[in-house]
Amino acid sequence: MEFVEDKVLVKEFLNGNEIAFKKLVDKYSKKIYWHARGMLNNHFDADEVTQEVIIVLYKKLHTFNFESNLYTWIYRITSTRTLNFIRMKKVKEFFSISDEKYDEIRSESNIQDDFEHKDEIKRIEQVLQKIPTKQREVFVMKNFEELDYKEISEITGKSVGGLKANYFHALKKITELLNEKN
Amino acid sequence: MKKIDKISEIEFLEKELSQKIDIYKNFQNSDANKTYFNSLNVKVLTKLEDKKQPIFQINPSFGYAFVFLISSLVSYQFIDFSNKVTLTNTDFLFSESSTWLEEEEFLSSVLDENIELDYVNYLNNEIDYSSSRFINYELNQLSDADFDEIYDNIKDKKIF
Repeated sequence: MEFVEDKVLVKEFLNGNEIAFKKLVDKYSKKIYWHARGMLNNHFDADEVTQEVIIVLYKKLHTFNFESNLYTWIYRITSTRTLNFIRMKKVKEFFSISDEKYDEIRSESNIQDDFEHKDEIKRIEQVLQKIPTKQREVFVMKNFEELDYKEISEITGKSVGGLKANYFHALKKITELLNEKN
Repeated sequence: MKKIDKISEIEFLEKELSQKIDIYKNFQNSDANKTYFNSLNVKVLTKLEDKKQPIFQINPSFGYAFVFLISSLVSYQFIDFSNKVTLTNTDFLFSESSTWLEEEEFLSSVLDENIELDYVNYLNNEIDYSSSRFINYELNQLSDADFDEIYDNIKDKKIF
């Protein structure tokens, strides 16, 4: 049902209905943000990636071929953008380039900061940053986004076997690291 | 590690982590974040709207006319129409560039040795011309008495 609804919205948008695109943004911005946040452990970076992905969606939606699920297609873009962002950030850190854009958006709206289990959530995010990107990605998609291996394979282009191996290592490391802290 | 062992280890680890994963998922699904996501969506959609607005709008026919005018002006400067077309206004907008073209043509002729320059003759003429002008000017400034005195001195060979 969701699959059909998405395709209807895409078709409406391609026929010039901007409200259809707004509905898609309302539906997917949260998922895009949380994927980026899980990967980046930083609200401001996740905010930036989410904005970028929505702009890409707007520009590239006409290339969507209606053969796969829209959310798989959106996740693929989000995953690529997030990984590119991580690479870019590493390069910037290497050359000690300060990110003006980052400073600019600092003052803007933030995600809820006064929440229950704040310390535990922070710890989970810190631990996630300590494991390799590939393992982190499969862990985030499987546990926080509740995607199955087949869907993750479609998004990342990696084999199910490879994903399972990465997930297993991710689980082991995360458990160890969380217990270490305790 | 056997496959069964691995699966049971995964299940065990997942069970151990389940409580923390649930905490994180509750944080993600919290309604308190609704305001942020609404503002984020509005911000991006506004950005997209702004990008769609052109900086200034121009009627396409004016645009074509402008391009035609510019290309005509440019081609007029670089193509010699003089053999076929007579223009009433020969001092057209960019007359300096046609002068420049003439100089260029002259210099290339000199370099190709089509024109021989006699520098000695040229300099002598220049000196004669300048000094004669200078003397003429000076003589015109003299009073009649002074002029007569100079004339007498020349006649008596007191000068030169």
